[in-house]
Amino acid sequence: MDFKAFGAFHGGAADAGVIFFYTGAFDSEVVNALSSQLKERLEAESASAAVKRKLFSTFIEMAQNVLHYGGAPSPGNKPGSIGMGREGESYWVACGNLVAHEHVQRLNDKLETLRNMSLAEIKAAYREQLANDAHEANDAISKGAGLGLLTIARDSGHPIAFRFEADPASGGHFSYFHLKTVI
Amino acid sequence: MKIMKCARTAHTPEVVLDTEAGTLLIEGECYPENPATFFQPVIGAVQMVLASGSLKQFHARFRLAYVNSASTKSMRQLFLILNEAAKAGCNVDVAWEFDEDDDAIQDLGEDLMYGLGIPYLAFHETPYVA
Repeated sequence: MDFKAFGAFHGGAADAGVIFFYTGAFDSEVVNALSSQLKERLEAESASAAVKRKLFSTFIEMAQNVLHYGGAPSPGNKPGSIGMGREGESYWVACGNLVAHEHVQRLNDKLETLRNMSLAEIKAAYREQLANDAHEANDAISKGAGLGLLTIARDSGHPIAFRFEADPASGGHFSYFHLKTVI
Repeated sequence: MKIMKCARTAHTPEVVLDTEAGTLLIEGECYPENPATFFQPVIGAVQMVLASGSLKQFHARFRLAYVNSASTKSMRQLFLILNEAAKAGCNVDVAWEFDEDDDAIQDLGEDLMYGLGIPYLAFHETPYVA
């Protein structure tokens, strides 16, 4: 990286309002360190306690999602990224991770459904999922019963945004998945 | 065993279970990566003391500032055990304390109660000012 590239990277981050950003391998230690760091950063923000709580919750759910469900092209290597920043009067939280091709359609459908749900519907779905003991056993891919995505959607001021993109670098087995919310 | 204690950590709440007095306190933030690992010993100990039938009453106090979604399934298990004990005749009382500005924790308490079907335990919402 030359200084020009570094400057462009820095300028791009500033333009996107980035307050916090991590990209690299995800493991439990990284997620623990990120959550402690984020907590400190949030203390410096002037947002209301309720907004900070939502930002923290969304960040934790996203980080744990990457950790639990992110695709790993080779053992011990689970790449991902997560960040938070300002956007006008609001904040964004976004994450990215690999998803195996065979799971893309299923995840896409799940998120599309979530995008079209009202807050009341999201809360009702959370309540049903929590009360549903069978779900975990029936849905091996999504342990945690989909409560994580429902929690993220509940705290988002706008419908969640997401996209999938082919990721040729990961051996052709994965797509790169991005998820973003605005709080 | 009379008292079981887990000190509060950055990611897990303080837990104090007094099996003789019949009290349980869970206080703090809860977002362990593997909630089952954290909750299993607590749930096991609560289940054991309640199943022994030695307690006429049991008082559980929850004062949580944040719970991640993965932990809510373990909380549900705990609520189911408390409700079973109440159904079996123990006088179970749950105090659910939450920051009055925090809808998420208030909702969680109500969601956990919803999941019990018929509630046998007594549930008290106790908002506090942070």
